[in-house]
Amino acid sequence: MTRVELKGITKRFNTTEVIKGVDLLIERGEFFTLLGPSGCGKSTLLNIVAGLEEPTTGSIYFDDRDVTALSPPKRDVAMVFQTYALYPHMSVFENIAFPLRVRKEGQDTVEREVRRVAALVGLERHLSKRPSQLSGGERQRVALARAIVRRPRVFLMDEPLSNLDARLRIIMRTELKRLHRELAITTIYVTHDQEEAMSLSDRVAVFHAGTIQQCAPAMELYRRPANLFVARFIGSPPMNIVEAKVLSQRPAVIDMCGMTIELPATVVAEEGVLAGIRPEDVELSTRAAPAMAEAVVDVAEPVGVYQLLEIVYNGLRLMVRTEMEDIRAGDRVYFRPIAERIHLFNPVTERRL
Amino acid sequence: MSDGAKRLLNGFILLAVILWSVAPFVWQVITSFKPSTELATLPPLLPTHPTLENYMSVFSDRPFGRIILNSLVVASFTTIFSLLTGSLAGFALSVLRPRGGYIFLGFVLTVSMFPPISTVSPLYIIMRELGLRDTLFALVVTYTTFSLPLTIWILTNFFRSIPRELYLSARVDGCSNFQIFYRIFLPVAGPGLFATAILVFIFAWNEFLFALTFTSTVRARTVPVEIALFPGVHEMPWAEIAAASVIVTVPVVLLVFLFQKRIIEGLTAGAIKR
Repeated sequence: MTRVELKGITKRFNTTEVIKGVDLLIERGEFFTLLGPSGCGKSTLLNIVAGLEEPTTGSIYFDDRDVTALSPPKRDVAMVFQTYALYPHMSVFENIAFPLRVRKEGQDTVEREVRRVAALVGLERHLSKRPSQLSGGERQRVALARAIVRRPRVFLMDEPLSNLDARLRIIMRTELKRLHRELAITTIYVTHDQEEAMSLSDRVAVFHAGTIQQCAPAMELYRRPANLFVARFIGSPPMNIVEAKVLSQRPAVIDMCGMTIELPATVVAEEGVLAGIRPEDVELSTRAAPAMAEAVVDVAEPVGVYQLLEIVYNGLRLMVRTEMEDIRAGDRVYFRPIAERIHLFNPVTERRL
Repeated sequence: MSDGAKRLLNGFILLAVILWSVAPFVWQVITSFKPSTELATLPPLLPTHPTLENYMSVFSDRPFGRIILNSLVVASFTTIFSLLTGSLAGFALSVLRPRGGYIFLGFVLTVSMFPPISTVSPLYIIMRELGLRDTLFALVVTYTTFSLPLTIWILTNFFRSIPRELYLSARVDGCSNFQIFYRIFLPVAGPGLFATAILVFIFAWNEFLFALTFTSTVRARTVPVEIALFPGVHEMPWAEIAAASVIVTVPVVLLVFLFQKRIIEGLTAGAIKR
């Protein structure tokens, strides 16, 4: 198991700075995810860890050893690509065996290790096939097996599930988690899918515009987003962001489109703020109740276990999640945001208050 | 127009094109089987007494076997050298992306822009000074240089059509660049190599100008030159020329037919998304 440390990494392509100073410490055996929208530089950062790209400045350490100048083979990392990158002219067996063959392992070792890993990912029956004869999920398994077979120090995955359909993605997600538990290899995972990041990772770094916005355990990102970007990016459907006026600082009271909400005393709000309310953090009722405001349901989207409602109150549109099934568009409902779960942000700096 | 009529018209056009391009060769084949008495007369279009006499005399009266062997050696080695150099260059230019790669590609292209006739005299002098006149080696070297632009361009594009992740993946798996070249990219580029090989082989097999200039004896003479030297002072052996032409054309045609599928695969790879 290896600890990976990035110190002051920047990367510039011609004049555009893709990565603007990244410091990260990834613990031994951790499942660490770089999460961000496409084009934010997260794949470049992964390639820098792999040694496929050189950082413009900064250094990379594996267990306190500076590996910045080492070529990929010498870093002993394994990588899984979004497009699988299987060698089309080789059988599944040879694909998995490839890293061992390059290291000139004996035929006995190769045979044993390939079979062991193939069993681990459920590919025993496909060893003699060509990659072109496999389904997307099976190809992904081959790519995983090829990465696992060398017992690398660090496991790097660049959007490995993005090319799979939704159902398969969830199956493979569970499988990845199981594999990580069994192998306990330090893993750096890149994705743009926040749900994938949340469900797989010990810790997640949200990456945007070349910098890390927040680096924390998944639930912490959800409960205490450090800024507006993270707040909007984590959670599905995304958080409602509403402009609000501060009526009183202590105790904190805000006014949201004519609705007065008293916040826990720990929040010190300034003059104007942005209030973030998650769709699941709104109390909803079909009957009038004290401290609840009346709203009209504009759109109702049943998703199965719950319904998503867009409700309109005094010109304010809110996404709300409810488990009540008998609500239709046009119905009157009564709602109240749960005060303890409202997130406040500075409208200028966009930081959490 | 009805479907039937359309198909008929298509068929007719196709037939016309085939006739147009194959007719000279067919004529050549017919001539090669004619006895000398029927050569200059029409009718008959087809020989009344088909004969193998012309084919026999090509081999018995002349050192044609040796000449074919010369051509084979020259064309084969040209193909090997051209592909060896071209694939390395193509791999470097497309995958390793050196600085100035595009300038280099443009430069390579200019080499093929010189008409051969403009370089034949200086090359002749060079070959003479190097003592390479009338050797197969002189032809192999010259042909390799002249076929390299084509080879480099085709193979650069071919390697470029191979997903870059394959390179990155092999890098992470522990391969050196050279290992990636011969373990991954060469096998994957198989059809492209094959198509290029055939093109180069045909070029070297048919080349006339340099072969005529650099060679003087049977030692290094190649087929096109030998055939051009058939005419004597008083006679024009049309039938033997025809027979010799057929002998050297048929193998190439067969080669192309046999590997037609792979050649087309190679020439169109990368043009469409796989």
